[in-house]
Amino acid sequence: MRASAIQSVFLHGAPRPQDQSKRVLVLGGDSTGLLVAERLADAGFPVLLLGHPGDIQVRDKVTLAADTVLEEIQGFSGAFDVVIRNSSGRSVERVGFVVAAQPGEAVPKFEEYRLARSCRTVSLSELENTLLSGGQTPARRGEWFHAAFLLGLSGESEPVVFSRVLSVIERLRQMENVQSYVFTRNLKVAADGLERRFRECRESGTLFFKFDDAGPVFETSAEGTVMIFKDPLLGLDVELTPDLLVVDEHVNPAVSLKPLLDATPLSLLSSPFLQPESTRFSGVETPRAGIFAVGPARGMFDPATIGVDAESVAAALEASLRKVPDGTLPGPPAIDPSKCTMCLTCLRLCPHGAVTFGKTAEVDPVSCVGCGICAVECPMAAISLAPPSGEPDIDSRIREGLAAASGSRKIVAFVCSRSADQALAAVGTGISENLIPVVVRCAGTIGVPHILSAFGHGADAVMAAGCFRGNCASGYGTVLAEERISQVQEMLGDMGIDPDLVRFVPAAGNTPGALSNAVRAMEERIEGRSPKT
Amino acid sequence: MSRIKLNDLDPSFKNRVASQPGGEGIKACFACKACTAACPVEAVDKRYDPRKIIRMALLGMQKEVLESDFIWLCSSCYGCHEVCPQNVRFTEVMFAIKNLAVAEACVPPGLMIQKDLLKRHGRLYEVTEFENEKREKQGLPPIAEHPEDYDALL
Repeated sequence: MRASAIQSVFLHGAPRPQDQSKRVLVLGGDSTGLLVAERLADAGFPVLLLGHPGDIQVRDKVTLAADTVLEEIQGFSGAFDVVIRNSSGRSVERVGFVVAAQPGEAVPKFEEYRLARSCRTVSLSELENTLLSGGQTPARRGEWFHAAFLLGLSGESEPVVFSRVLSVIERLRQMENVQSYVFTRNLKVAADGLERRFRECRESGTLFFKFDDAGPVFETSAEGTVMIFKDPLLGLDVELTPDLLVVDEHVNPAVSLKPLLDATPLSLLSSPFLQPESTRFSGVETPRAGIFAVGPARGMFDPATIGVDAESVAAALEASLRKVPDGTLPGPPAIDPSKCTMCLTCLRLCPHGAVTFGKTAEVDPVSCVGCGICAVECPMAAISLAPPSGEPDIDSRIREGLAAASGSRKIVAFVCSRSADQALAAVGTGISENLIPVVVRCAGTIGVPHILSAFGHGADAVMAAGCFRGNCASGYGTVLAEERISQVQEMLGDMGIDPDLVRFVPAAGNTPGALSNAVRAMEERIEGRSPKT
Repeated sequence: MSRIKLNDLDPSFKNRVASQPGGEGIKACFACKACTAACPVEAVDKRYDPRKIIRMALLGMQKEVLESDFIWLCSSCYGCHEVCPQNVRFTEVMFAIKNLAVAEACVPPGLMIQKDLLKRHGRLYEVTEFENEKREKQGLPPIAEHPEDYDALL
């Protein structure tokens, strides 16, 4: 996270949840942002729209600040303080939510393919604009006009781009004697109607070259660019001198996405956009509560789906307003200011962006889901996660569970409430009398002391069962749990104890077998019946 | 083989195949190779590879396809037809290709001889006195040749 944000939060302090605002800041720039702004305004949210929507008339409910840019976001869902700037200077606005909808920036892959732009070598967008404005395509050199399209030749193809290529090919077909070629690698057709259009495109004569080797080489001379390649099906050397060579594009995130990325836990974002990889997030959610991303802010996007995104954001905002901390959630964590050294570990690691710093660490009760990762990661043990009302803490549950256990062997299993607990419910706690389940909010809250405490109180083996990687409700709770397990394994190994008496088991409601198999394997391990791995 | 120049090939060839009765499905091919896997001819002669024949036709390699001798190897077993997921109906496509080959005078000499035999005798083997005498000894009726029926067809 960014120094400037941290410093200024130190100065201002965190906004408190009682100041919840319904106002929404929409970051737009074209018709997409406007559509989202108007949909939210219709749902009763006051909207401030940044970015110029072109010549389109903006309706009354939306306040337009066309030439204003966002610089910084502070605060939490329901009470963000956003720093915006226009020609007359900076100002701070209070908004409840932020929705990113800025158009991305298309960058043609000329360099990647080692091609130079010319009148016959153009980007897909350029050709689209030429065709749209009724402009001329380059002259044909023979009886036939050969149009070659490069699509994801340096990596994966994108269904959205393929759809655009198909539209252009359909348009070119209106000219006489046009032969179109598509040079691609891993052709993706997972979009509405795309497979049908792919077939129609083949049936109307377009040829596809799908490479799994190095692909075509481009030789440019005064006569033009020659493509030399091996036909993937015939295995024969082929060359083509296209009359028109069309290069596909990367889409880079808008520069104006930066303040949003700064305000979002980056560890859950694998792309440069605001879209987390995890399936635990809805399409428009970001890893930061109260900040949403639609359409182009999520990555490569199909303009036809923007309506769905707008509906999703509207629903998410409604749900967010209804979300009131109640007794079912543990937390938010309590922070002991006398122990906190402001090392910012919790701020860096909170997968939901719920921590900030005033005079000490503070946690936003709306954003916090009570996963407890901050508590276990705090090097000063300054954070404690109060269990849901009346529930004993993890250590006492380990002790009680072990004391009440009836089996001859004792396997303590820390069970993640978001996934493995459902697996346990499916197989039933009676799968083994040796199993002592201790349900935890998130596998990421299992610390080395918890595991050692289980051994200390008489466990023969310890398992941690949590979400599958990539599907962790806390983003990387699973990764943290696996790390703890391997730390303890190393310790056991150093002490001459079988390190495999500690294990991480990925489990979920639909994989109950994973849990029962792991329990059985562990029982055999304790008996010394299974061979060392 | 020297490099194939797509600019010198005839992109309209696939359309000509497709406009022949039976040839309509050729452009639907997505090259899954199910036809080749099912082809009993390909199993013994790799030159006859349905998928490659389709590809050559699609690329516009008219001369290489029509003047080849391997297009005449198809046994018309319809194995490819059965397995094709794209409904290319390749056996029919082969008829279309062979019809084009005949129309553009690229028929292999053996086939021309067969055609002449049919034209002259109405069958691929001439029936002479020798055959009819043998039939008589077996108590079978003699065979009369009716080449005129084929003459009308050919």
